Amino acid sequence: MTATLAADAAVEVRPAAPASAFKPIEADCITALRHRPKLLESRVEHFAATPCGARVADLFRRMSLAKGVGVSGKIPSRRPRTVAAAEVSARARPEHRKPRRDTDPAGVRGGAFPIVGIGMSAGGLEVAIAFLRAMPADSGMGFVFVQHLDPTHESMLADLLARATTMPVSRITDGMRVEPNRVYVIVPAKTLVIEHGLLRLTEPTEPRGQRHPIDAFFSALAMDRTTKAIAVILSGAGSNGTAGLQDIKQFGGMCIAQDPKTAKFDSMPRHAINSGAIDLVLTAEMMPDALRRYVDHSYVESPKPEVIATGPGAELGDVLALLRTRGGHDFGAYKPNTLSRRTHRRMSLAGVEQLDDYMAILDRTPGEVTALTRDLLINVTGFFRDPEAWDALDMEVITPLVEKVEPDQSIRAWVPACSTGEEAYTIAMLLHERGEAAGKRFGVKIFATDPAEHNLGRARKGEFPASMVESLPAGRLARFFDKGDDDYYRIKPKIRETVMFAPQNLLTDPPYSRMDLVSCRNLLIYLEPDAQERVLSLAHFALREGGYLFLGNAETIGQRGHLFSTVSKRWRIYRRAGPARSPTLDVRAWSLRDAPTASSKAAPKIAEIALRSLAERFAPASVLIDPNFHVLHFHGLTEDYLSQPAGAPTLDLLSLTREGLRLPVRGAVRKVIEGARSVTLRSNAKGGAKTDRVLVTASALGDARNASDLILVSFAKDQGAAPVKGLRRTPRAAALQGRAERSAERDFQEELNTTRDELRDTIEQFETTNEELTAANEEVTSINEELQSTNEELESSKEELQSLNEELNTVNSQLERKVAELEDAGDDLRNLLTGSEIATIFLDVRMRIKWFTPAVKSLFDLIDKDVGRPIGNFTQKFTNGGLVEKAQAAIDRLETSEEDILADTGQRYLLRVLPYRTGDNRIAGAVATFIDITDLKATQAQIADARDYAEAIVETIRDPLVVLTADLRVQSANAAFYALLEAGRAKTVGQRIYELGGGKWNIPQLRLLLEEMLPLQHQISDFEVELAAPRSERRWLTLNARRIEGGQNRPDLILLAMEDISARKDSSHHQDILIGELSHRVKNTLTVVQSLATQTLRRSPSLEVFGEAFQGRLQALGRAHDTIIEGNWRGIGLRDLVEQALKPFQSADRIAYRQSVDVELQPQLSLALTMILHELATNAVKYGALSGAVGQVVISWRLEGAGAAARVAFDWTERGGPVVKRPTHRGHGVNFVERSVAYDLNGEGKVEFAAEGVKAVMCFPLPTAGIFTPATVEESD
Amino acid sequence: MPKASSRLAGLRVLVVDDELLVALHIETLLEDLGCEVIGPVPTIEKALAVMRDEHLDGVLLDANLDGYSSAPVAADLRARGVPFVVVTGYGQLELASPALTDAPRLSKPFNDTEFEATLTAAFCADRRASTTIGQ
Repeated sequence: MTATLAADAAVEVRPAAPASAFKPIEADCITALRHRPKLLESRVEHFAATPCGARVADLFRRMSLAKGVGVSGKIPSRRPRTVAAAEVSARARPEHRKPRRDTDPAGVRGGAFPIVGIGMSAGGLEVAIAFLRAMPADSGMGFVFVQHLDPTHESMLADLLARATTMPVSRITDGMRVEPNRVYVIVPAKTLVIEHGLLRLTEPTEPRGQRHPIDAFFSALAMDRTTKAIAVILSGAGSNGTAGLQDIKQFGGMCIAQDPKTAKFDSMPRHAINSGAIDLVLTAEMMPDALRRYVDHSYVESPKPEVIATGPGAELGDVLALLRTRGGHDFGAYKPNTLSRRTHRRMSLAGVEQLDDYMAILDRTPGEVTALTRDLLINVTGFFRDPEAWDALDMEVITPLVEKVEPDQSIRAWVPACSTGEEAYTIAMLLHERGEAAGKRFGVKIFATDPAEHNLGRARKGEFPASMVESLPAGRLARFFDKGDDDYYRIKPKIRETVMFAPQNLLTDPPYSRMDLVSCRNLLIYLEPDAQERVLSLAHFALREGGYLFLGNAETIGQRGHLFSTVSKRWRIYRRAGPARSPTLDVRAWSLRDAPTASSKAAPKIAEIALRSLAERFAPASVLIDPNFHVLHFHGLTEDYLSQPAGAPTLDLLSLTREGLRLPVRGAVRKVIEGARSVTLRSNAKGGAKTDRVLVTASALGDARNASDLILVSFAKDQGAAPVKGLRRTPRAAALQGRAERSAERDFQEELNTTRDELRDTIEQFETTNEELTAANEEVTSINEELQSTNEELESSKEELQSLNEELNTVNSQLERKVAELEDAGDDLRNLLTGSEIATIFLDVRMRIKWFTPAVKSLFDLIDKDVGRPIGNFTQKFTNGGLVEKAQAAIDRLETSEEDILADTGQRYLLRVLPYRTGDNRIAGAVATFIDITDLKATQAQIADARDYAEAIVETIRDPLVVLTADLRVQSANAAFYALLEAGRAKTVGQRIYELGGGKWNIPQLRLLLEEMLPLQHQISDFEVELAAPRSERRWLTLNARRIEGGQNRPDLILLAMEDISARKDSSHHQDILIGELSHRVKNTLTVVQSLATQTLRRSPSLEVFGEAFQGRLQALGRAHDTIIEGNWRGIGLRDLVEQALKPFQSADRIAYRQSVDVELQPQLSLALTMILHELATNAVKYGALSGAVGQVVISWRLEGAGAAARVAFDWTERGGPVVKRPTHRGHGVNFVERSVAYDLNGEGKVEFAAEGVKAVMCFPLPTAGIFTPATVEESD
Repeated sequence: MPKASSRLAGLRVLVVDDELLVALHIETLLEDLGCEVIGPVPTIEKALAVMRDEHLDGVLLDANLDGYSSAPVAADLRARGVPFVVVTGYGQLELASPALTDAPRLSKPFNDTEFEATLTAAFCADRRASTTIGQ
């Protein structure tokens, strides 16, 4: 994790750090640059020719940017782009350059108005159009579109964009000046940069496919416009633009990316966003507003600290305090200039001018705190980012380490949280550079760890986009990178091999140890205080004594001064302090500490005390060592032979041994190690202050039982100078010894010789050892190499395995889920099939049973174990079916078959055989289902019977029956209905009932019944209707209607049964009439009788007279009725009537009839006529022709007129009787006759009392239409 | 033997009956009650003619005139506001028209008391009212 304030670093060029890093001439250059920029202008070209020209150029660029130094002149370089950059940067602030100032109008100086650089690629056109559409034409900004273009094709981009905006759109030509409210479009096959407002087109130097036109332009724009540089990344493939954005951001401009969700190709915006440089992620339509907000902000015009430092309310200190409390990051060490400028920038993005307002935003928006913190840190990873800090590290740490390191030793460094490895590689490069400079060869081991595997993957590859590394000086670039085929640079193997990447979480995993350097930059700032504490403790643990800790600029060791001493406070370099602690020693001490403690526990015994006394008194001073000369125990007084050297306490016997004893000690011990049991050597040198020679005896301790490798080394004074066994003696030496005492010179000679021997011996040994060591070292190195490569392989294998494992985990979880789903589905299916009790059997293509439901057992003798056996082997418990053949047909020809089968149990099944289709539509067998249809069949039979039965009844019944549908159409009818309707079935079924029979059913009563009553009442009985049709007689019907509720499959039906009651109705009516008439006639007759009685009574002088007269009249009345009844209430012959009326009076033909025709009379005339004749006859008998013995009555009549005018003239003529005396008053009889003729017969009658006899003349009309009309109710109409 | 005390005395009453004997009987009864008998007439036509020409205080109407319903006469009487009593042998049976059925009815055969009561009820309500008004 590397976050640096690169731009600030560039501003603050410290004299010491860079100066020391360069050779004198370069230092000279720097000094000159700092104090006399103009002087250097003339020397740039000179420097450029030197090998360090690139570095000078780099330095120069930084200087000129920082101090506004303008330098002209070309600095050639191996990398033309660097030249361009240098050139641009040299002109970045032309106002400071006198020669230029005159030619540069003030209005177009860099930063005069904002320029928006828009980078896009695939899919960018439509977004660009949307952007321009939304962009007002008077924004005051200039727009430059940079795109990857096919160099061989003329671009239509400008034309297309011109349609989207009213701003003028120009294709860029070299030297074109950018003006506000205009749009500029890159032309193909050119590299575009901008220099103080002028667009420059150059021939691209990179081969096609490796060009970064967007990066190049953005970088140039950043330097030309600083805060007024706005970069917009639209849709596109690749990562072009991301590197340029870093520059934009560094120089204080703004970066916008199109929302990747809206981008056709989101690679470019995503890269940009992931780089952390993007301030806003917006859709094209939202960009203009954001741009306007930004350019209107005071920051853009004047990014000066005073703007916020002099605010009336809050001060920058408040912001920092807030960041400290909220984020735990102390930016106190940062320069206020930078902090306020960056804060001001954030304010511009937040759209507030007052720091108070911004404080409020910070206060309530945690995200803004993070964003501000990140901006202050500029979270950018890179090589040599924050170069001054690296220079400091180089000087304070790397150089001393390299100076101190022994050849063939290693310098170990650890970069926890290494991200994508730039920091680790940077350390490796520095070590390499220093090593080369010092001419030393030493090993470098840099452990770079990070919890994020994806980071490690990228780091291990060691490939970096060109835009990432192009900022490096050409020398370093060439020394440490190989240019790849694509636009990637690959770390050279020699650097790559020194860095080992491994996944490790600093907070949870064990740390590394014995490090010379731990670089832990900008990690602590993200951590809570207790985690910081842990990390620092771990760093302390990981570092060897005196090892260095390198932190980020915003980080300190805080209160942990006891762990670290400060090397450079400014650059956060610390050195491990505190108790010296060698892990190896610690381990040994730990392992040995138990032994003496254990033995001391035992109570000393007498024997042991004796032994110890004896040993102390007589035994020589001795030490017990292991084969590595490591002292385990001291015995006796060893101060004559051993002494603790200055420095750290040591237990190394060879270190402890006094001068002169080392050779015999080493020799003796080595011989013992080589197998000798005990070896004694005599020292040549004097031991310590004593002049005595010393005998050194080394003995192997332990026997076969406790075969330890312990060696006892004893020291004794050589008093007798006796030859010691095992001492190497030569004849020459013996002779010399014999003369020893004679001459001191001889002593010296001897000593010299001995020493010479020993020296030679030692040299031999040394050479041998050295050879051995060299071989061993080679071996170890190669083993180490192997191990390293193996380790690397393992790492990558592990990586692969982990990713494979991850994949497998994913696949496994998917499979588990799928299996669970399948199990569920299987359970569901099994339950379904079992629950449905449908016997189902699955067969494969070879007719073997795959599976069957329990219900199958009733049809086959199957048990569960029979799965897999051919179905043909089992006896089937049903008569027919041909299951196997059907299954074969299903498999071969995809035939589906159904058949009714009869099981032995008597049940009927529907056997259905279908092909078994797999999910991929393959036929993998057949499925046979046996559906129990026994009940179904029985029910069907019952239904059929019931239907036949019902139909028979319906057809047999004499009453008409008709079934109507809900919309009153005839569904069916019986024969009686057709008969009633007098129409056949064909003309009836399907017709609406109202249309039947010429519409005679279309009557209100029926409508009432069917449409209103039936829907409510369900059943209606004895509803009478009358049918009248033009051509047929009236019919009376009683209807019984019943609604038959339909089910789901059948709509409601209406059953209409009818009974023809016309005949009954007629006879009943006739009967009513007759009864009424009878009553009428009887009562009328009674009234007549009453009248007769009354009239008769009133005219009778006595009861006898009344009785006779009344009886006669009653009898006449009776005869009149006889006449009517005899005529059967119909016409009556006049002759019959008269004869009947006069029957009581007829004797000896005294009543004669003279008539020409008989006349048919209406019955109602008979009563009146009879009564008239009765009165005439009575009068004749009493007083007239019949009173004597000879008188005669002649009755005659004739018909006068014809038709309606026909009249009957009726004459009653008496003769031969006594002389008639005219009566004094007209009697009742005469009066009645005359009135009756007039009244009842509607005629005229006259009774004359002639002398020869009474003569009655009547004339009355003969009604021709004497229709019998009842008077009672017959019908309403 | 006219009953001078009868409230029907002096009324002009039309008798419509197709049977002379019955008509004579009614006539006799009316005369006994002091009524002035108009008619009797046997047919619808004659009855309508009399009704057109004469002032009538009441009508005795046979329901059945020579086989024809006397409904037209009843309707006309109703229209004229002349009270009438239907004389019929049909008893309480429904008659051919509401005009007949709804009118006061005198069932044949009838006695004097019944006759007087029915007629008094039918004819004298109006009269009394008119008398009262006249006074």
